[in-house]
Amino acid sequence: MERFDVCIVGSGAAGGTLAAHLARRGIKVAVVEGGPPVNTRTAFNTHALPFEFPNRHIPRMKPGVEGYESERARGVGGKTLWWNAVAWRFSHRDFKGRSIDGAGEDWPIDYPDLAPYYDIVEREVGVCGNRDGLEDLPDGIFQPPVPLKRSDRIIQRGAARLGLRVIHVRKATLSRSMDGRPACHFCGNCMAGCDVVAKYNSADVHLRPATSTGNLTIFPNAVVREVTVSRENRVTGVEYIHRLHRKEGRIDARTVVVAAACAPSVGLLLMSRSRLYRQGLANSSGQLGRHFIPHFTGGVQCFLKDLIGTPPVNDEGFLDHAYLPSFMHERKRDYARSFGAQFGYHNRRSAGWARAMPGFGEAYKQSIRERYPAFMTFSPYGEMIPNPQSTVTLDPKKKDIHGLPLVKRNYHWGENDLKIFADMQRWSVAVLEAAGAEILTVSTRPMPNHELGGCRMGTDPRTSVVDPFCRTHDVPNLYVVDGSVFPSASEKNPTLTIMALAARTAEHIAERLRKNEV
Amino acid sequence: MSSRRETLKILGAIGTTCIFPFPAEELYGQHASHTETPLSAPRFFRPGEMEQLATLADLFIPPTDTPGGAAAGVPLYVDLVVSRDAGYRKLFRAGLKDLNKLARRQHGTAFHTLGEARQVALLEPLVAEADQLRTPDFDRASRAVRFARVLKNLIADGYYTSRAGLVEELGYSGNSAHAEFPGAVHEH
Repeated sequence: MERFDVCIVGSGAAGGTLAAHLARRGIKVAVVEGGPPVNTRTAFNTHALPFEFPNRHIPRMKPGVEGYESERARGVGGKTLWWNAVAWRFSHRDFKGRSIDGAGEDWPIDYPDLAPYYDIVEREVGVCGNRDGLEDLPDGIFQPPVPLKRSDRIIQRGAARLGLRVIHVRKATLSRSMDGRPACHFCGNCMAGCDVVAKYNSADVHLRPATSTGNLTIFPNAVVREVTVSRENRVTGVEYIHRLHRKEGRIDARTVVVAAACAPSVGLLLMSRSRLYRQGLANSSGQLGRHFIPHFTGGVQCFLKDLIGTPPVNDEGFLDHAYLPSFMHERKRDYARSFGAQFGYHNRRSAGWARAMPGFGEAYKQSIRERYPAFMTFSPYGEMIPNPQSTVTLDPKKKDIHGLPLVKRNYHWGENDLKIFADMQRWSVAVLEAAGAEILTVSTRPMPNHELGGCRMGTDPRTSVVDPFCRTHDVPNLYVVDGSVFPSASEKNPTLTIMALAARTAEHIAERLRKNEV
Repeated sequence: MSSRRETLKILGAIGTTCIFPFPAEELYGQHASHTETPLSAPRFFRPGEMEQLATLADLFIPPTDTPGGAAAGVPLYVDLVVSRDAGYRKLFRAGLKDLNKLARRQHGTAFHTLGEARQVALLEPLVAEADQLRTPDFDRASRAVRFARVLKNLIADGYYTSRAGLVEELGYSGNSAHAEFPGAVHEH
């Protein structure tokens, strides 16, 4: 059987970037994905409206098309098929939280280490945005930003009254056509899957072009259940179960990269038990699964008074067009770290908030019609500080349809997290009120989002799982590249940083393969 | 209503800037979406109950310059959702009966044969209480209030996801291509 140079588990932002960067360098790569291949042109319900379905629920995939199933089977492209494409660079503050705020953990790398790889990724995938000159949100190589919505202008004015700056969002969605991909046409349903690839997905932008090198083989429908390790402490490949016919298979490789997304990656390593690693592969430190630090979000639903009663317009755009960057890190506060806010990322294909409007009858109907153009969701994202109870573990009893143990997320918000949550909700309401908003609902509990941590990067093998190049401390030819390696979470959407890490790790692996070090 | 006509006019103006933006490029995207067979016959409710639901759907969302709840097909949507949930089946069967009992006790006739004013007067206190009901307190509320809460949820969901509710009433105008995002130019 063919032995690959590198076997990558997962085909999302990390797996796709890695595969393309390695295959281009002449390295023989296998990408193993639990889900089926997805034809992004035809598989999604991008343009569906709820009344086309009797239960008014727009399904992920067109009838009879497979794809979105479980966390181990999302389809080739992984979560990039469904993401919202927000693409921030992390800043020095994000990498050095402990040094700056005395909480959380520093990354062993800093912004200058990753900056060249952000450049590479932005050039490759196309990121639109404005160069804002913010120290905390480094500028990159951008296509022109897309214009703000009228609701963004209103919030921008409100925020300005409080001394806060609202900027254009930055997204890996094209505002100008590039490499055969058209610019976004603002049909407004990005997270249902973009059927023109204006929005980056790894299957079309990274994997498909990489297959033409002849160096990349994609194994779809292959649910990896174990990364195998030799007595000499080298990983030898992966074993998988075919998703459809349940047959078992194996892929041999000189190097393995686990890039299956945060919790599934941690789960796979925990499942990969052997004589050498009884508590899970690369877990001699017992750190695997610890320091799980998902973002937490709050939320406010409101109506912008300036827009109540105005005629509805087609402003779905590419969902959110603006962003309120972190500002509390510069202000006096009684907690460490900070938050930022996304807003206006709802589309207008339903009005679920109508339930929450009071009364019934003609006045009720009228009040909803008037408020429909004015509806706004505002959602701050906070940075979590690691705590001992927040972990990723394997369920001791429950198994999935493949007979593999379910991966459990154990959420526990610490005191600092709850302080940030309370403050970010307060600020959200303040900004909205300054913008002239009628508040409808304010969420009262933090909700987890963007899973990060569990396979922490660090220089000390006793307190971290991978080194600064995402290589596990325990096994010299095993790497982990995805959100799980983040030592601290920032409040910024993580995908661009995951891709930059992937590009950096690809270079590192290529160099080691060239020198025959693995 | 004149504001509706204005809306359509403005949409027309925006429409002229919307061209399919892929000249000289590979024509991506199959912009046809799948349509399932619409609902026709109720699965759970009996004919009398469906009639009552139609009355309620129009009381919550009456016909105006756009269709009301009944004409928008809300009763069949409610039937579909309720038919799939044992708790809802029990709640709705009893809730509809309770309304009739209340109507008979106060006015000597079934709910759906009362005049609109009396129907509204019966519903008002229930809906007012249901509006105050928060999820954690749901189980502690009376059956009539729980019924009113779920009924309103399903009618609102069903109406504003129907073509009549979303497109005709709310004027949904998205799901179409802009060559350029018009940005804040609509600002008044």
